[in-house]
Amino acid sequence: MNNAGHNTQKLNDSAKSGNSISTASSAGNIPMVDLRPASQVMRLARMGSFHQSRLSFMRVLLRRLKSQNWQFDRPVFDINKKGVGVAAYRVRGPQSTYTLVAFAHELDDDQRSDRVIAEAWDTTFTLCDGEVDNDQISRLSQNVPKQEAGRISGNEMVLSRANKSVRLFAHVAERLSAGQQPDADMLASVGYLLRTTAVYGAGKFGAADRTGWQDRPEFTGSFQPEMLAVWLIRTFSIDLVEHMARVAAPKTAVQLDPALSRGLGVGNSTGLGMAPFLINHPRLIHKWMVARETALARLRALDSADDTAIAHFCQLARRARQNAYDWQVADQRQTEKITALQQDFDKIVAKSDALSRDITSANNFPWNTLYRWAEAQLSLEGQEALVSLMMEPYGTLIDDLAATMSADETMPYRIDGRRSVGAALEMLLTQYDWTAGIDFDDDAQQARVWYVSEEKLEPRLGERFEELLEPYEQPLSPGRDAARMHRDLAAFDQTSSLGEFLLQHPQHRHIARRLQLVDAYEYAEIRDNTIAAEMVPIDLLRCKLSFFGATKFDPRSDRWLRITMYQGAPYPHELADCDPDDMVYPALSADCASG
Amino acid sequence: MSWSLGETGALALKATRGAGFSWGLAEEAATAVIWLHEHGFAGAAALCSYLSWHTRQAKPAPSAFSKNQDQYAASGGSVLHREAEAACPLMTGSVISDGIAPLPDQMDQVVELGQVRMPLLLLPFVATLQPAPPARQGHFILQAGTSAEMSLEKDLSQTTPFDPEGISNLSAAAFCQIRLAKTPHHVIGKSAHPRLEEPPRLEDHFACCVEQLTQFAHHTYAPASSASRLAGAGAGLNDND
Repeated sequence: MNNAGHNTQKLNDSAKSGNSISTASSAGNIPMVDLRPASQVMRLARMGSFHQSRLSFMRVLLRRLKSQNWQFDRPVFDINKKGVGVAAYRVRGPQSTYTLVAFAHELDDDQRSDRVIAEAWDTTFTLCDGEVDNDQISRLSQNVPKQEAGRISGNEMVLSRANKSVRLFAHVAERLSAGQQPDADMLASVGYLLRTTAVYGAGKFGAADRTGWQDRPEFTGSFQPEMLAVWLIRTFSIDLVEHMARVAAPKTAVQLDPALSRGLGVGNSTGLGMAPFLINHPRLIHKWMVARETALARLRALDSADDTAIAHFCQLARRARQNAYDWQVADQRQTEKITALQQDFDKIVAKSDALSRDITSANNFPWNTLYRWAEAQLSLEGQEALVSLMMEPYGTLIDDLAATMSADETMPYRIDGRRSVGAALEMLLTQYDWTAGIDFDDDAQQARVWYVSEEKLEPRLGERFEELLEPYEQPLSPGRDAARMHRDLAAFDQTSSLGEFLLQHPQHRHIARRLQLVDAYEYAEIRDNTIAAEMVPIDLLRCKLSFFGATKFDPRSDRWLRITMYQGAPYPHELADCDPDDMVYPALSADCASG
Repeated sequence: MSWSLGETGALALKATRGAGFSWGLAEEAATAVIWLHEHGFAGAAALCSYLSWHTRQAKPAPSAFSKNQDQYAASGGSVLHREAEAACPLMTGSVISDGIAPLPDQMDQVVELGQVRMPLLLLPFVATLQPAPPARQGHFILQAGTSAEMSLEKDLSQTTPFDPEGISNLSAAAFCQIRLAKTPHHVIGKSAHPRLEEPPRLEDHFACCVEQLTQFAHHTYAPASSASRLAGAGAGLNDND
């Protein structure tokens, strides 16, 4: 797509005509409107409505592996009749080789738990830097099955484990062994054979530090080693179930139909451990948000759309609508959101048809018009689904942003203590203006405590006024902390320096650093009370998982959910012949293709 | 066995908080420990030793720069005065990195900090400072002990972390001063870049430090209870589906 023709003058004209478009420059002087402000974007209700997009990390990985023609093989598959053993999956790129080592175990049902406090799993994994030999596999076999209780080394990058979907795994193995294909509806309703319960990277439990590999081109962006590991785990899940079918009935067993296996992803259970991540990585979250908002701002600045882009959008709108209608969960709150989303998609499809008809009246900033309409007409789920959908036809305009979505959070952020207390107070009143209406002396506004249990260091969310948890409180309530610093700053000599204030009030040092950081990075802070009684932790989870590229969010309570990763995506042996970006949305079934 | 820098930093954060410091000061400690290991110093051992000393005290060591209220008022709020008592390296380092400590602004000028405990922990705060106008050039050098910077190199960087006597010596206070010099401290960094190409790791001989820091970190964890167990995500559910 040629970006050169987008006319800044028209943008300005449009702004004068009341469309509220202004221009700003992004990298490469690509025109864009103003980014949506943090006060609009960084709210839990909106963040909890994000959907996967072209910038999601799974999609970034598969595009890169395909464009660089990475090669895949399985040098080890040594699994016995009971389904116990080891396998290795090797991926080779232009500069590096990585190997996923997968261990399969026997697990009693009473041991199977998705919680952090589990101590055994059906399968355990590590992604290794380079090739592996028998000595390394032997060392890993003594550690990887123990997960947090074991140790990996600087030669390994990811540690993970997964449990079977017992019901589906048994069904598929049984059917395949009998020479039959599994029930398609059952496959669709579960969506995966293996469900990961943790994917640790970046130095955890002895793994290689991120600073050691962050400059490798194949890992540009965020969470690329983790995404690679999960993609290979998906292949292992198919190999394992086909192996179990084969050993059960060697003469009759068949392989899984590729059309059915395509619909299987990797499940994931995610709980409170992920929630603090967004609060603890303010610079990284800022980068993710800026990239996504910049993509939207570039699209909204397009003065016209060509036939190809419009047709692409209209087709994907229908497929995404089907996705919404296929999305079923037990959770009442999410069900209501999905119902609204389905209605939104009906409107989007109708609107996209109108867009197609109106294309002759070019130069009317079609995407901005569509976005403005969505803000007025659609639920937050619908608005954010549309934002993701609008990006789809415009890879050449926005895919470069994926490379900007990383930050080294280990780099120190120094407090500038030379500022006056008065200036610090002013900054606080500006950056934390959203706390003004919150009475933190009200029990309901500080009902929760984020803490870590000594029981396998599981992150938890407790009730402040029901248990003695405050001494163990983690610094995960920036709004309340800002309010407390506000009170002490206001009572301090306004001409003193912030450094002198912190010398006398070291308890505010954490939020003082955060304040200056938030002042420098607009999207670094979630502008909601993270310890309020009404706070819904899964909104934090949903936001992060959407950046991963997860789909089928399935809340199981207010504090954990299940998702599916790579559902519909190509397998390694298919990648060269498929467009991974076209496979995120389901193919249209005959009865809804006409829309 | 070895430990990554990332998990060492996370452990340092929790250990410092568990030893009674605020989260903000614990963040300073974690940053300092990572910097020290990146530059070949036994940061985990230094922190372990200092926290062990700190937790045995009735009251914490002060910053080297604490306000003397009377003189502070007389100076119009611009002067910070040095404490007589041996100072905390984390509190002192924080004042320095915040930019409110008096620093030398001419070449070879010296600012005395007085007695500071575990000066190795102070080193990252000084070494990462950028001279401000009017000097703009040069490097801040931390000098500790009687023979100044040489003693820093000899006493601190070469002390083995598994030598209990060496660790306990590290927690001793030393007279410290900051000097502005033309060339960087010769024990700091192997290149102009502040980070090594490959992140170093803590090898097996740091096991005792890791164990001790883990014990401090444990104070940040809530005791297990049935109520607490139910507060975890996924509690009470069957995952055999």
